[in-house]
Amino acid sequence: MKKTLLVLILVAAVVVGMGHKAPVSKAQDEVTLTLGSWRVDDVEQIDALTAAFHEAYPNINVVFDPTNPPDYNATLQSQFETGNAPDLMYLRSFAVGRGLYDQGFISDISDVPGLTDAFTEGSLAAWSTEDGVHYGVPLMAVSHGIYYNVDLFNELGIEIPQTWEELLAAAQVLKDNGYDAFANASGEPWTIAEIVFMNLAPNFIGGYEGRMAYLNGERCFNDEHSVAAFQAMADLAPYVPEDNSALTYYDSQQIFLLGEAGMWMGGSWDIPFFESEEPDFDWSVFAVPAPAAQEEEYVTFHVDAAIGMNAATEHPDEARLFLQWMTTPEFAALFGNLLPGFFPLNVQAPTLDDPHADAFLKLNEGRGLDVRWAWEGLLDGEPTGYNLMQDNAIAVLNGEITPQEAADNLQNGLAEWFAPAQACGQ
Amino acid sequence: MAFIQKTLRKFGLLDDWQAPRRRAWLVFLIPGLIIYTLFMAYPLVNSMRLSFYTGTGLRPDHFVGLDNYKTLFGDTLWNERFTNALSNTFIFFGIHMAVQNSLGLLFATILSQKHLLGRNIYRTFIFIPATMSVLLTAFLWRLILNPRWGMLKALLERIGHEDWFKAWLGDTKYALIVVSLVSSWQWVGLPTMMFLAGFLRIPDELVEAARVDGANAFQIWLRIKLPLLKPIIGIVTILTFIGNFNAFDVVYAMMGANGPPQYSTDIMGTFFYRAAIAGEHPVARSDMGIGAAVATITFLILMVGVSSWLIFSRQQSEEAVLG
Amino acid sequence: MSVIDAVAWVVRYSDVLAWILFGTAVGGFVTPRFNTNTLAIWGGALFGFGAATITVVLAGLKDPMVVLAAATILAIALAGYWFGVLRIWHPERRPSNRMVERFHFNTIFGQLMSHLILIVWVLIVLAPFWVMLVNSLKPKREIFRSPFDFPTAEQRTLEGYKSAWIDGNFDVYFKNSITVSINSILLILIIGVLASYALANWRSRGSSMVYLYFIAGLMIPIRLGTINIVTIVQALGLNGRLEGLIPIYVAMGVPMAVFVLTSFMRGIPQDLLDAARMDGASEFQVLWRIVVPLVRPALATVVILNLIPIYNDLWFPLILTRSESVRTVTYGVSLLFGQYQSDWNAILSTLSLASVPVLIIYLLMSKQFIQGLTAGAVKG
Repeated sequence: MKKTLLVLILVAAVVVGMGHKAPVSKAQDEVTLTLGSWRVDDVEQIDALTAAFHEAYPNINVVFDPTNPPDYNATLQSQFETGNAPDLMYLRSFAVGRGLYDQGFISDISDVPGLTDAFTEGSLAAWSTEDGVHYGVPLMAVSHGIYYNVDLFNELGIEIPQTWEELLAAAQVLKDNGYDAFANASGEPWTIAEIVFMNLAPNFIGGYEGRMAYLNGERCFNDEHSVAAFQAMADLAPYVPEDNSALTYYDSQQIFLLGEAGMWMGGSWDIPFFESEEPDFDWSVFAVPAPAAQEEEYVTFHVDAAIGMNAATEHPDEARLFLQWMTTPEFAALFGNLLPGFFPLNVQAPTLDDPHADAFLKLNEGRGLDVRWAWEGLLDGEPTGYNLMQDNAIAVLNGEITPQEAADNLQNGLAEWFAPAQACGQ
Repeated sequence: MAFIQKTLRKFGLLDDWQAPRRRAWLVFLIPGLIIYTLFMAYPLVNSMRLSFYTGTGLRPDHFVGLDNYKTLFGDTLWNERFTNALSNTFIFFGIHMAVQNSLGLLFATILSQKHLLGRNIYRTFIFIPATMSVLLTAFLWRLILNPRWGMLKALLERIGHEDWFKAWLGDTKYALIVVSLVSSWQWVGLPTMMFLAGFLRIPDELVEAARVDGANAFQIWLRIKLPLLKPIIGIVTILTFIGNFNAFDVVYAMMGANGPPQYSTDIMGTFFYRAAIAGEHPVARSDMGIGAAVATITFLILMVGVSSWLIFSRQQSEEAVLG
Repeated sequence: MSVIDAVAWVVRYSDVLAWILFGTAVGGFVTPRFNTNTLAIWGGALFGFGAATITVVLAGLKDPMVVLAAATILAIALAGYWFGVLRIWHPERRPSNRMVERFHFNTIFGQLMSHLILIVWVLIVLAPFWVMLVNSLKPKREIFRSPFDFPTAEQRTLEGYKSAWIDGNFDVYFKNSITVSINSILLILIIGVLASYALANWRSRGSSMVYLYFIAGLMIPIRLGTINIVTIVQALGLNGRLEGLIPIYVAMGVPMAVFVLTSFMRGIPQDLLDAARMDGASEFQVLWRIVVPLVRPALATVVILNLIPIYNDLWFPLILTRSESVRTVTYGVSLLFGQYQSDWNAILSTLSLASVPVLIIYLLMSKQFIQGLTAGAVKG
């Protein structure tokens, strides 16, 4: 009997407990906008950003509501379909953001004042249709390069490599001294695709112009340039950690931070994390060098995120005000300094206070910039260019296939659906 | 009308409604039927319908008949992924049966001994992993199996058998086995609990009688206890079967939604998730129609399995009654 | 000596230990012929010692003296234990005839093997658990530097726990998770027991159909129906509220409850129920007074089988309950997993705390489970 009573009390308590709700009090004229994102890492920084916005527009509150990255796309899609989507949301570049626009979930925001002045055609292109409709205000780009352990380089007398060949020689020196040359690993396949293969590729395929030659069918995906890019993967094979197939991204970061590897091919987004980890050595970054015979050098500077507007938002005017605010240089300065390693795309680029972020951005000087190879166009069919590059780059790294075979696989895979690849070289 | 009455009688509905007591039982069924139909059966059946449609987003609306199934079986890429996921799921299930359920049976046998010191403590320890979040166990096992700073590698080094260590999680041959073992490690407490319940329900007299007849412990276990445990073994097998074919979390948390390396840990759950909902990184272009077809095929496989078990177990119990 | 060393020692000499056990076991089986306990015990121990010695010699281990010493100590300890158990603490268990005697040795050997198997498993269970505990007490950067060492005095920190409870809103999240789980489980039990009782008693073809209809719900990934389910929840005005999750979880749990409970209830002898009915008990009384106590172990199973997926579900909270005040623990934890780096220290702390409610409920249930077993006299 006592037990039954206890259970009843428990039930009652729970049911009563549910009645309590945090009261949602809002002033009449105050508008709250939610901002969806996959950057759960940035809550503090974006809160500071939206606070600055709130100061400028006291009647608008922007609430940052991120979802963990692997679930973001799927969650956003379901939210749109059930009418629960946030008013503003981060958009991934090219195919993914475009999919949302094509389904009618996000608005045409071409008429946001200042949009075309604040951003280059190139940055806007990642969130535009062929007819010139813009559906996202570019938020940030990430850059790619090679982090290196400055102390270790000095100790072993290694100079910053100026050519691809020098890079391999430096790697050999590190290896001979018992270090891992590169901390990169293939345990999480995307890391090989995005921060190794697509990081080095522009130097071998000739940056933007070279990439365009593939996209308009002038080149086949198994031409000499593509083979050279895969050959570079083969060049790296002796210099990655043992058993790298089971090492994750976190492992790689830690291998570099522990000073066990001299270099880490990485993205600018690692800066805040590396700074917070305070490794006991000096570190900096250099650009992936081009082969000795080649003059032009390139950096993968990838447009990563824009902010778009829910087509069904109840507060379109307020949301537009936020987007308009995003085109101002003040926003760019605020954003760039709050989030070192994520670079604002505004043409009036701010000076960055963070030395590492600044160093990273300086790599762009005198080098051609381009987005990651697989993003534009190559994601629109199955098998995607991304998957083909990823799987074949890993296979080359593991010594399972030759660079030529890898390039052939890429060409044949894309030829299944990508018209330029079917008609290439003619 | 006559036909309806006949049908109702055939299914025993008419007779049952006449007896007030039986009516009470049917009233008992109603709350379950309502909530289950509204929140589960209807939404799911309605979604399975989508396997005949195509279109973007989660609500495709263009009717295409059996095209999605044709794609799944006919298209080279889809078919390769699909058969791969299906066979991986069978391996996943096989390892769970061989490891998780056999260990469960072993532990339950041991724990059902009357005078085992610390019985409850052991039982709790066996169950502890099941209380932990899959996110947590995935992280911990990845750390233990890590080729760089993993505990297992350190252990094998101290024994002097470094060569036994491999980067299993990065190896297409072993990754699925390791994931299945981790999953078995986590959930072994559940079959143990159910088997133990079964063992403890066996009346002492039966065991005593056999003992007096001179049977040893193993004989008692094999000839008396195990046959009595059959229904529970059936339930556990079916639950494992169903659970494994819908499994998702452990692969997702340990390896990611793509089932790396090279789709070697891709099972039906992750394949469905990618096909129907998430798409493949970084594209996120899902095809709900094909996803629904995958789910429908999974459902049919499970339905065949479960129905044959039901028929089999019913025959068994009828035989038992007759014998 | 670190834990790794201890485990390494056991593993390295496991063959020796196994031989000792094997030897004593064989000794135990062989010696009853002499019909004296003492001889049996010493015989077994000697055999084990001999076997260990031979292994050492054959395997050519590096430090045979250590092994021999250990084997000697173990053999003596085992013999002493058995001697003590038989002669002093449990004189009543002393064998009186050969048959029982053999059986008794079986039991001792069995007990020893039982403990050995269980201890090995407990170690395998504890290894990750220990990694979790140790690392949740460390500052973030130490987790990868030395993942398996206990934090030193200056490293030790409760920062992870603190950030979860004080900086994060995890107290609220916990309350939400527990509220949703308990309410869902209670409803699943009530609805499941009623439905299963009906299905177990109503034996006709229609009953099989309804039964199959219910358990079909186990066989389709629930994510498939997401959009439809969310639409229904919205239509009921439960969107964005904790109450919106409960009917979904109940519907998810009922198939499992029906599956497990029906098969248990079918095992209850009909005479037992009929006797109560003769005495004038209503169906509800029969159910509550007789059936429910008898299926307690099954109820415990249902609770545990459903509690874990409900408590750990991330999908429906992600879509239905996003605002801070109605977040669940799993949702909260998911926000600690960053895109490129995660707050492992906070994740480990939170997740280890998160498993506590489930563990408590399991412990409560297992008590019920045992009581149910001793009370019930159900045929297998």
